[in-house]
Amino acid sequence: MATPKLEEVHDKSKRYDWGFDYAIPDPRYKTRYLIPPKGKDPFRVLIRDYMAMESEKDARVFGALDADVRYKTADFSEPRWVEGMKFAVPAFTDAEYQAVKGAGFLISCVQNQELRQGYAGQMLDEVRHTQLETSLRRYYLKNYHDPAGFDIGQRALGNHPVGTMARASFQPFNTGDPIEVAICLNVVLETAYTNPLVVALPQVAVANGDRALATTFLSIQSDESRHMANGYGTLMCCVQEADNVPFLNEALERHFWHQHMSMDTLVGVVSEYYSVHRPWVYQDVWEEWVVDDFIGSYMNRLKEFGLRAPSRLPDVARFVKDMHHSAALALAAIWPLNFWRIDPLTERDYEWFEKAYPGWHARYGGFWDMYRAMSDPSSGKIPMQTLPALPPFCQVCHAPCVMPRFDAPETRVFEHAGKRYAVCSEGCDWIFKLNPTIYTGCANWWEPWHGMNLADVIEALGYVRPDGKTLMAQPHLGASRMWTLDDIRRLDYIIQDPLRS
Amino acid sequence: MAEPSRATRRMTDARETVGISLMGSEEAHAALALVRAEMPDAQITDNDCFYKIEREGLLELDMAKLGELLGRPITVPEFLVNMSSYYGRIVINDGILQIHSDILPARFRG
Repeated sequence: MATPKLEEVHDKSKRYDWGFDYAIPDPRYKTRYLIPPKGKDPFRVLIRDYMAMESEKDARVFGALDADVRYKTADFSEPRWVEGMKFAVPAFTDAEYQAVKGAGFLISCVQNQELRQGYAGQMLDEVRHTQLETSLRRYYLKNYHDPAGFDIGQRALGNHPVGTMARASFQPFNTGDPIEVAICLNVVLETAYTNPLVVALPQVAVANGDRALATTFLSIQSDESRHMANGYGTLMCCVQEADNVPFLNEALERHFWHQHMSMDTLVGVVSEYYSVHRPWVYQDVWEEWVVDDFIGSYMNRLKEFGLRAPSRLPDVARFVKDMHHSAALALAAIWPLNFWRIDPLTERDYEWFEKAYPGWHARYGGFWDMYRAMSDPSSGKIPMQTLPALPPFCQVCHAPCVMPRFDAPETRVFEHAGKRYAVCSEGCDWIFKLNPTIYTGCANWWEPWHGMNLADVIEALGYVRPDGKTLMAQPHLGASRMWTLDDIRRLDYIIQDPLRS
Repeated sequence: MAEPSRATRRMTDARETVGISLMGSEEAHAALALVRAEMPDAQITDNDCFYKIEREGLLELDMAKLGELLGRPITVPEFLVNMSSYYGRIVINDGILQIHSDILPARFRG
C-alpha cells in the first residue's frame, strides 16, 4: 500500500483540533492583537515524524558525547574556553527553560490550530535542549580537570552581577502579550540571534578542541529551525490584520534592541575573549547572520506588509564594534565576583585583537596589562581597586553600564517613582519608559551588598571551592597559588553602590 | 566618527539570497554533491563543523535524488536531522525541501 502524501496527512491531522469548551480561557496576559484563525506551519510537523527525527538526533549527540568521554577530549580542550563555558552554558540553559514555558504559553493563548501544532513540537524541543545542555555541563563537570563552578552553574548564574542579563533577556519569552512572546522568542532571538550563538559558535568550540559543545549545539539548532518557522507563521498570520502592524513594529523594535544587548555581549565575549583560537571576528559574524540573513533576507522583505526593520539597527551596528570588549573588560575587572577563571591575555591575543579591531591596543591594552600584573595574589591588588566607581547595571538588560565603550559609556541615570535607576543606552531607556512596571521590580545588583566587605559578598554568593577558602574565580589558569578569601579580606575592599545618593 | 561598518551600507537592502546550514555528516556530504550537480551557481562555505549553502531565489533538495547519492532511501524528517539552520521561507512537501526568497511562497497564500 502506498504511503499517504505528507500534505494529505497533515491536512487530515488538522481536523482533529480541540477547543477550549471544557474550561473558560483565563490567560494570565491578554493579547492586544487580533489573531486570525488561519495560519501555516511551514514544516507541517506530525508527531510520528517528529519523534523519529528527535530520536535519531539524540542518538547522534549522545554517541558523540560517549566518544568524547572515551578519548578524554575535555582535557585536550583549551582551558580558557572550558572556563568560559562555566558562565556561558548556564546562560544558554536559562534561555531553554524560559522557552519551555514560553512555548506552553503560546499553545494555551494562540487559538490557531496549525500554529499550535508547531508550538507543541517546540515545547518538546525546548525540554530536549534543557536536558542536552545539562548533560553537556555534566560532561564538563566529570571530565574537565577543574570543575569548580560547573557544579553550581545555574544558581551561580542567577546570583552573578552579569549573569542576571540572562534572566532579563529570556524572561520575556513567557511574560507579557502572547504574540510579543513569539516576536521576542521565535522571530528575534531564534531567527536572528541563535545563528551566531548556536551555529557559528560551534566553529570556535572546535577550533579550541571542544567537540562536545559543537555537536550538542548544532543538533539543538536543528530544532531552532522549526522555531524560526513558527515565528514566520505567527508573523504572517498577524499581519493579515492591519491593526496589528503598529504593535508588531513596536515589538520588533523593543525585542531586537534587548536581545542584541544580551546576545551580542555573550557571544562576542565568549568567542573572542574566552577562546585561544579564533576562526572569525565577531563583527563579521554579526553582519553575516544578523544583517545579511535576518535583516536583508527577511525583515527588509516585509515592507509590503507595513513592517520595517528595527530603526535602531545603525545603533546596534555601532555598539557591536565595541560592546563585547567593554563587557569582557568589566567581567575581568570584577573577577573575584565570578565563578570561572579568566586568564590574562597574551601577546598573541593582543596581536589578534589589534588586527581584527584596529586601535584596540590603545583603548584596551592598558587594562589587560594591569590585569596581568595583578593576577598573582602576591600583587596584593585587584582591578576593582583601580576603578573610580563601580559601574551600575542597566535596569532593563542588566549589562554593566560601560556600553558601548567603557571610556565613553552612554549611561543614563534618572529617578522614577522616587528611586534612582540606571540604563546603559538610549535603546534601554526607551524600553524602560514603554512600561516601567516591568523593570522596577528588581534591585540594582550592588544595592543589597552596599557597605559589605568584598570577601563577605563572595562567601555569601557561594563562589568558594570545597576547601571553604579558595575562590572559584581566579585571574589566571595556573594551579600553584590561587586567591583565597583571606587574600581578598586583606584588601579591605568595601562595596559602594554607585546609585546610592 | 569611525568609518561606517559594512553592515551600515547593507541595512536597507532586501536580498534575494536564501541559505541552509548543514552539520557535517554523510547526509550533508550527499546534499553538497547534489547541490554541486544541480545548482552550480550555489555558494558553499565549509565552516569546519558545518556547511553553509547559499543561492539566489530558491534552494531545492529532492529526497529521491539524495537517496540515490546516499545509496538508501531518505525522508525529509530524516534529512532534517542534519539541518542546523536556514534562512528564507521553508516549504516542506512530500519528499521535497524548498527554501524560497519569496516572502510569501504559494503555500502561504490564501
